[in-house]
Amino acid sequence: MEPTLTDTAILVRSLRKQQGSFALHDLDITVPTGLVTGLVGPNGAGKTTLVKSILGLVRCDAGTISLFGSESPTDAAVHDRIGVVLDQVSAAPEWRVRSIGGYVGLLYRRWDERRFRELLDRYGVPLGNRVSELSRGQSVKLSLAIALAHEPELLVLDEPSSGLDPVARRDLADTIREFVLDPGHTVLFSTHITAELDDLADHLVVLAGGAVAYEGGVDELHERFAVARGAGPLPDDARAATIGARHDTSGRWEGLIRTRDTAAFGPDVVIDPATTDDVVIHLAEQSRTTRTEIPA
Amino acid sequence: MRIILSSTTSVPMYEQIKTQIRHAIHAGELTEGVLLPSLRQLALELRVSVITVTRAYNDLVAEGLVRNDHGRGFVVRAVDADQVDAALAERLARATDELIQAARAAHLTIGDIHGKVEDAWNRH
Repeated sequence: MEPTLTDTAILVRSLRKQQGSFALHDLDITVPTGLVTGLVGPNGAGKTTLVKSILGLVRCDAGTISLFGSESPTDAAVHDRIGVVLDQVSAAPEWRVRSIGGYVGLLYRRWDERRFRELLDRYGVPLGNRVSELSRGQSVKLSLAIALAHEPELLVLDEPSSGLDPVARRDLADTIREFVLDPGHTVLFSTHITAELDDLADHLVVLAGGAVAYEGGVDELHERFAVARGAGPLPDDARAATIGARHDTSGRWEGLIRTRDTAAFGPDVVIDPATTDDVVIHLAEQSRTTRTEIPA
Repeated sequence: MRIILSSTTSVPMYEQIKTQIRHAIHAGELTEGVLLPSLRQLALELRVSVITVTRAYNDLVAEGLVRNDHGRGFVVRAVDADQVDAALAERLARATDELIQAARAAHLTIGDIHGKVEDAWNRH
């Protein structure tokens, strides 16, 4: 059965978290069941803090996080339903790959050793190696095999593709699409390489400066935004319609605009469809220039 | 049915999927009652997102070519012969326009085009 669009795997409401000088402020996020949600934003936008809050690895200062409708991400029953790929493998460096199932498998109610071996074989992770001897690509694949071997419904990946070569990135994307063959399965995928999300993500959350700059469908994002490029001073109405404009030293500027505001720009302004990168760059610029200090 | 997507054209992926399925239905390769691949299966095969295939399928439903048989999937509907004729005529008209523009740009005569079309026709 296809889930209805109102089914939610992760619901974040008014989440606040202060960490040193960095803060997540009043985040509201919905991760729909059965789809791939991409979490994008520049480094330091709060992606990892958000992912860790969702997983219950850091405590939030205020707000609620519900997973599968339950409000305690640390609950063992909820933990069983989530597969996690973080930047470090959750296995000791001296363990040999073939023995990992014997240790890690104990942490989950369902552990499918055969599936684990099958995935390692498919991904070409050498069974005889120690965890510390694996390359970056092999480590990510090992993490993915661990995450999938306990048959989760939700897969959460934090920057899994950084440091991966194009072949490994494609394998990762294929694995994710295979995972969502089951309409009850959900993926949350954080990355700063936005191009790889274009043919993978259905839903997008853009974080900038610790706040949600955009949340919605990937196709709506491309319909709603365009990029405007011009030179010289901007008329007031055009300036008001430009989001996060960046100027270079020779007087050229580039900014994000809403597609419906296209008419505010004259014929000497070039307007192109916005890529996800464009949206991230200019929403981040906007948040940087309008940021107000959040009292600690 | 083989769908092949281009990633360098400005035509969006969902549009390419939709057009190729529409052509297959019009050409009779996909006949009434045939079950299309599931949304998720096709997304996996074509390496696109689920939402992209969903959009293509929904558009085909809106065009009346496919119906969403809840619980089963997307099924090809009986084609309306007039509608197919109209669509094929339109496709031919578009291709003809393009041919003429290219021929004018190359300063060809109608006789040259006749010859070229005939050669190509016999080759196919």
